[in-house]
Amino acid sequence: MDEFPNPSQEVAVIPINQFKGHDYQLISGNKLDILFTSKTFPVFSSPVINFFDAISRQCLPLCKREDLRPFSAFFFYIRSKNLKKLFQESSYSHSSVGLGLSLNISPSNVPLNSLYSLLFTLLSGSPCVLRISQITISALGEFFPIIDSIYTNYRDSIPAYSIISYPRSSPLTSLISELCSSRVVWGGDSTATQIRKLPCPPGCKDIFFPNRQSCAIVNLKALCSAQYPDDILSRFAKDIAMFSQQACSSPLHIFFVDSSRDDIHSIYKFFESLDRSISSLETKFYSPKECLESALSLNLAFTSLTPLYSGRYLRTCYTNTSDTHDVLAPNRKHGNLTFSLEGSIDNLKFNYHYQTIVFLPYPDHQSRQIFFDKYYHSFDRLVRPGQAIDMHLHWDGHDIIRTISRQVFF
Amino acid sequence: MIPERLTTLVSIQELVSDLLSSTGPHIDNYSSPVFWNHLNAIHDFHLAYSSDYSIISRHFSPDLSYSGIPFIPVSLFKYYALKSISDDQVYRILQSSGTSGQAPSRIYLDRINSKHQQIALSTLFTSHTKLSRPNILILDTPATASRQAPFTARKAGILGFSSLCRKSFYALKDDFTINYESIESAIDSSSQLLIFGFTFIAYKYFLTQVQSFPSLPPILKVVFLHGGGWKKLKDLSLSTFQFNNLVLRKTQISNVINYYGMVEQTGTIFFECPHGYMHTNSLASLIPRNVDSLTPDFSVGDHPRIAQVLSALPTSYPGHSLLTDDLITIPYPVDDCTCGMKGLPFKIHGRIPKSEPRGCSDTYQSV
Repeated sequence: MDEFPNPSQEVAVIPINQFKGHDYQLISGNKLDILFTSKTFPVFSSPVINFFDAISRQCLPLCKREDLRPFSAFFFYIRSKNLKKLFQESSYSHSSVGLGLSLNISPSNVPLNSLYSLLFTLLSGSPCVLRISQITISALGEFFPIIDSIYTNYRDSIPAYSIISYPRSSPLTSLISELCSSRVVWGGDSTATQIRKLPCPPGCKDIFFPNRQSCAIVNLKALCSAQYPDDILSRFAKDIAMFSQQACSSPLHIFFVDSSRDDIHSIYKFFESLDRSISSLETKFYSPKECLESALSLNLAFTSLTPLYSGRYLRTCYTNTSDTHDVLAPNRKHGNLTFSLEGSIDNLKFNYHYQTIVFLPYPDHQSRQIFFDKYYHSFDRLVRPGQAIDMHLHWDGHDIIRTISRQVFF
Repeated sequence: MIPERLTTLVSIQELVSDLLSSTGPHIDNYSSPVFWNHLNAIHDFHLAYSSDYSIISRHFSPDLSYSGIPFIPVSLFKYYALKSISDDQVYRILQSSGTSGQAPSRIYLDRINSKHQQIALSTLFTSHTKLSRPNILILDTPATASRQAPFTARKAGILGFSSLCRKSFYALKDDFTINYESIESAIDSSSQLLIFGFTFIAYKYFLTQVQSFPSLPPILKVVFLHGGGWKKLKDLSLSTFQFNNLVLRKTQISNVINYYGMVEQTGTIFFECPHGYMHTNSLASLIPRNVDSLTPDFSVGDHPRIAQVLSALPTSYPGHSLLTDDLITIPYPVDDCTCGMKGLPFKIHGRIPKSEPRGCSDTYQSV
């Protein structure tokens, strides 16, 4: 069995517990044994909303620190005002209750998603076992003790949870899988395939988030008429840079619609402005060196690309192939975009089902409807600039809370 | 345009041989035109024989190249088989230690390149340590350099330095405990002794464990040479000064020399001067680059810059110009270090911080 990695000197020693003879680190919440006998609650119950609101109040001020700033979005999102608004805008009712114990395998490389996963599961009214990685522990380490101390006041009024960590080779995933009512597995194709093979109860519901990619559609002529409004570009810069393009909803490719080779100069200027916008973001999410490394790696991996713009935080290559996503994806990160020149928006040929499409500028309601009618099979989300990386109750086409809860008729 | 005489592997190898034979024990000024002309010739060769290098050069921004030579980020050696020879010419594949938990670099060598590395190491070693065919006490285990062991940077270092010495002794047993008998034999049978180890191994398994190091005879000429593990040492917050003091306290050796090198440029290493600065030399140079713009920045000062390292040796793979992850500062201008040694003095200050991995894949990692 793999050993637990040595915690660095700054990190507090995390207690080792055992479940059915197998070691795990308890990061926050209850010991695993308790989870299997814990009860479910209604969706969006007030105590759960209050619990997260209390976390928001204590953790949000910490996010003024530069290293914690990327986490502020989550702690802002979980204010009771926002959670109540989400409930009101949704079609959930309080007669829906949690399905039962939910096993959540969170992404090792997007620490924040762990907390979103916990939020959605507890909002669904289901007890939650959340397995996190050592990377997540070190990234979110300061928040867990706060969450833990707040939890002591809510222990009996919200679904029980365990935030735990254990080595990949541990049989714990399999053991919990056999006993849970739902499994929420945040991507990677290999992870999804591996966990799907594990036996689970017949009624267990699964949400697997496999590898996905996203793109942007830019109508430069429409944007130009608006003189490149800074806020649009700075919001789009966040979509590109905030997760170093490694979030599945961050655009990797840009379709320039109503464009031809004659527009290359304008496109170059657009990238130049976008690079400046990324440069001026308060927090830098990757270095110019990483940007250059990825660009060279991309060029080595795929030789038919034609570089257009090489800046400090953005490097772009033209490609006229639309079926190269799988080849390009592993190398597109740290501000490396591909783009293609497209004719009319009515004649786009998507050979890929995108997770998110960012529209610049965002079309009016009627145009969106026309776009949906024509291309609904090609995407799960259509968003404004700056919203690509925002988490939502609906993800990859799944209504997460509805899937891991059940409707009670009475 | 590629000079006609350089269109074969043999001719570029001869050029390196010529440079090596003309490089005496004296360390020349690194900025000599001879070095740069040589480097340009190697660049032309790789341009012709490595399609990957050719792609990199084509996509390289002219603003960033120096003397017309682009650089390859060292990380690319982890993901691509970068070489300028055919598969049947590969004699040995060097592998980095992969300390960052990532895939190790793979460096493809032919026989001649491997030999050149030996000659270069010998030249630089002799000129800097003033030792001639000493015995070597290796601060590692015999298993590390055994035939069965993979060809790692540690093994390459041990074999490389051992080949410059007469007789080898190991200071550690295979279970990483101190082999006092072997240490005594090394001291008793030597008139010149090189004590060599990787910094972190030397610290963790030798310096912190050794209790009674034998007294050194006054006639014994001894050098304590270490390098390669400074990243881990940095994690322990141990300065060069503290390290050297520990060596003195535990072994009574005051002649402690640190070196900086990497598996991607084996053979050419940078030695530390008595004042605590690494120096470029006639076979290996360095270009400090601005962290933000990546443009060359030779100004003296404490602001950290990224080190681009240049080596005159690599002919079987395009490793002559590499952008490292290491941050350096420049204490004095070229040839102006107070120690009197020529070349550009520099100090290593750690690694450039990597951005947090934030992607939506590979979620089920244990670390």
